Amino acid sequence: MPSPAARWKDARAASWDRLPSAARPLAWLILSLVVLFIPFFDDVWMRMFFLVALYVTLGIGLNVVVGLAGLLDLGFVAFFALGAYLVAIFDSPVSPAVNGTVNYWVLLPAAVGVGALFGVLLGLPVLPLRGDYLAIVTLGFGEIVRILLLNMDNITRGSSGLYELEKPAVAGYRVDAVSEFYVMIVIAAFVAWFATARLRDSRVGRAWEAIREDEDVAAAMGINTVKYKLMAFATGASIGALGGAINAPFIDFVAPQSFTLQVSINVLALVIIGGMGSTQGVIAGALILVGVPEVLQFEETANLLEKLGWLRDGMNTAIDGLNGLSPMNLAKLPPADEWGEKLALYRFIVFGALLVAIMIVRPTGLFPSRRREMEFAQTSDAELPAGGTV
Amino acid sequence: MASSTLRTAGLGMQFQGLTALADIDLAVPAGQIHGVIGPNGAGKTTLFNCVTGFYRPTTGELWLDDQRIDGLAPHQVSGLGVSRTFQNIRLFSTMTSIENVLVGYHLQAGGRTTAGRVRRPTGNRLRDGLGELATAPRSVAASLAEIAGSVFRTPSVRRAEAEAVARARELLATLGLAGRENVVARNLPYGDQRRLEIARALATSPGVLLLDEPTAGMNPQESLSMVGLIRRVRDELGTTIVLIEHQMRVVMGVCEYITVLDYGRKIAEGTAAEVQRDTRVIEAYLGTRAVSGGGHGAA
Ligand SMILES: Nc1ncnc2c1ncn2[C@@H]1O[C@H](COP(=O)(O)OP(=O)(O)OP(=O)(O)O)[C@@H](O)[C@H]1O
Ligand SMILES: [Mg+2]
Repeated sequence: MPSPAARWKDARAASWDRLPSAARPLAWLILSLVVLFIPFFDDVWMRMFFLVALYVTLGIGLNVVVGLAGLLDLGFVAFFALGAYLVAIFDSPVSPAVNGTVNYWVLLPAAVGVGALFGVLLGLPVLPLRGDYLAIVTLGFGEIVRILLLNMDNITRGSSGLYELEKPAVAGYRVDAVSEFYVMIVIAAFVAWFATARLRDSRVGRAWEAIREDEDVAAAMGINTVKYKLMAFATGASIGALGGAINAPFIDFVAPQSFTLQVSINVLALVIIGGMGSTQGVIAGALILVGVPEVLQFEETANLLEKLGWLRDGMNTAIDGLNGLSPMNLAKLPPADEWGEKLALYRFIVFGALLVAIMIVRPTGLFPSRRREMEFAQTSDAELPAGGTV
Repeated sequence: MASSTLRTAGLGMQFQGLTALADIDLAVPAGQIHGVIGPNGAGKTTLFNCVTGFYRPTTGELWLDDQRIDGLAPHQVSGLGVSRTFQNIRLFSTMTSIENVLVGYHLQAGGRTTAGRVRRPTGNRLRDGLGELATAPRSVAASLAEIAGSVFRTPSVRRAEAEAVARARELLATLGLAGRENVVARNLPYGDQRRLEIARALATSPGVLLLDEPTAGMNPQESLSMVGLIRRVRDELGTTIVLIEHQMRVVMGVCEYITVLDYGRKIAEGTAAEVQRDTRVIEAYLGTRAVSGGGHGAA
């Protein structure tokens, strides 16, 4: 077996691949250091990083369904909700259906299993559907789940929600601080990444990609498309449920209003913005889609903007000049210490502009999926021996 | 399982009033190179689609060796050893050459599960549904095992993968695609794409190989080397080959037996020489619809 680095070469290399091979371990090192040091930020920042890592996990899950198997799923939030509710129903003291609590570490794998089961249940009726039709039906599925949760108040308490969840405990120690939950979700993201990367590089991943490329031909090559599509739905759904099960004790308020279509769309958007099928893409997408709107309303951002007073003075001088030259009466810029407030208010406009800009500059996403190279021999493209062995 | 016989009996295919195939009796003995010719729209591709389970024939029967295969799903037919290429090349275009072939090795790499006989649907939906339900637990267990095996890369998964890769390389080399392993399929030159499609089909280790106009769009020289390739596949692997072809030179050069279709019906069959003399064939090609499509005449 060649080194992992050797296996990730490609003709259509994305930015990552253009890094010289020596720089790649360095990039990993920097990334790990960043991830490790994040717990030393204050809680406001930690909350943002938790959210980003949560969405990375969800993105990795959805990527299996959309990026690999090519099944456009707009109901992904259903599985996220399922994982959260499974934990909440069994671990909340206000839960009307269940008395007492169940150990969180039993519920977590259970959520993964139940997620997979519901992935199959959603998959079965939509199997014959393709493209847009699939998107509409899965969207409906997501809404059905939300409305069910809203109305089954003898189990879910409807919109009043479930709260005061039993915190997960590790050897008698309760996971409580934001940074501790952050560590949990980062581990989950890593596990999800590892599992899906392994799957993608296997016979299963090839079957998924073949189905994405041409379903009929995949079947003609002996692939049981029904089975593999269901496997894709189940894998994605179980990762979604995993995210939900970790998020539940963290937000500590599980109610249907957190599981709207918006969540499905956000996850899909970050997968697309990042570049379908690639994990760096999902990370970048989550940072931009989830991180940026948060950061735009942070105090630090406002403070930073205040330092731009000189820019305001300059601009206002220019506006004065313009107003003097013509009958136009341009308004002056507000004081810089109000900029942060204004930005927080209008952050979604800034955010929207950013998304449009990204899609114009990089229509295939920030890190389009590298064409995996099935290079199992040590030789390079140009000098492959005929019928070489592994 | 290098060689199988293929038989159709009274095969018919209708599309809302349009009869694409009617009453086709065909018998292809093991190891034969069998030509299917006919003017455009004669129903040749439809025949392939019926045999491979893409279409469910409206009448008649399909037999592979001693097993009835009409009504089976495409992946089941493929699992029993019928493989095909497509008239308009249909590769997995963003995947590399070797990945395309590895998809063809899908069943081998996973320990062929559909070997032997496959239950044909009875037509009774309830009974078929229950039958499927009965196999569901085993199917779920197999899927879980496969996912676990891939995630943890167990020694057996590793071994199967390494073997599939080695065989895929060999197959690519056999078809003259050595050195092209890691080229994305859509970036391959046209002739290579045609050959890659054949490599992918051969990877399923078929007993019957259906080739839909493998020389379409090729110059005479390329066509000639394709003829050599087809013959080599049959001679070395013993595979039964059914070949749809418009270029008469190719048909006459390589086919041991020929079936001629016109308007969905079999109008003649026999050796190249016999078919060439048949007045109905000459009429179909040169008659009222003279020089239709790529027909180079029965010259
Ligand atoms: N899915 C379908 N729905 C409706 N009609 C179809 C379908 N598939 C094929 N046909 C019709 O069946 C007839 C036979 O088509 P077929 O593709 O089998 O011809 P062919 O012999 O392969 O021709 P060519 O030499 O042009 O490839 C045509 O009239 C075609 O329009
Ligand atoms: Mg045709």
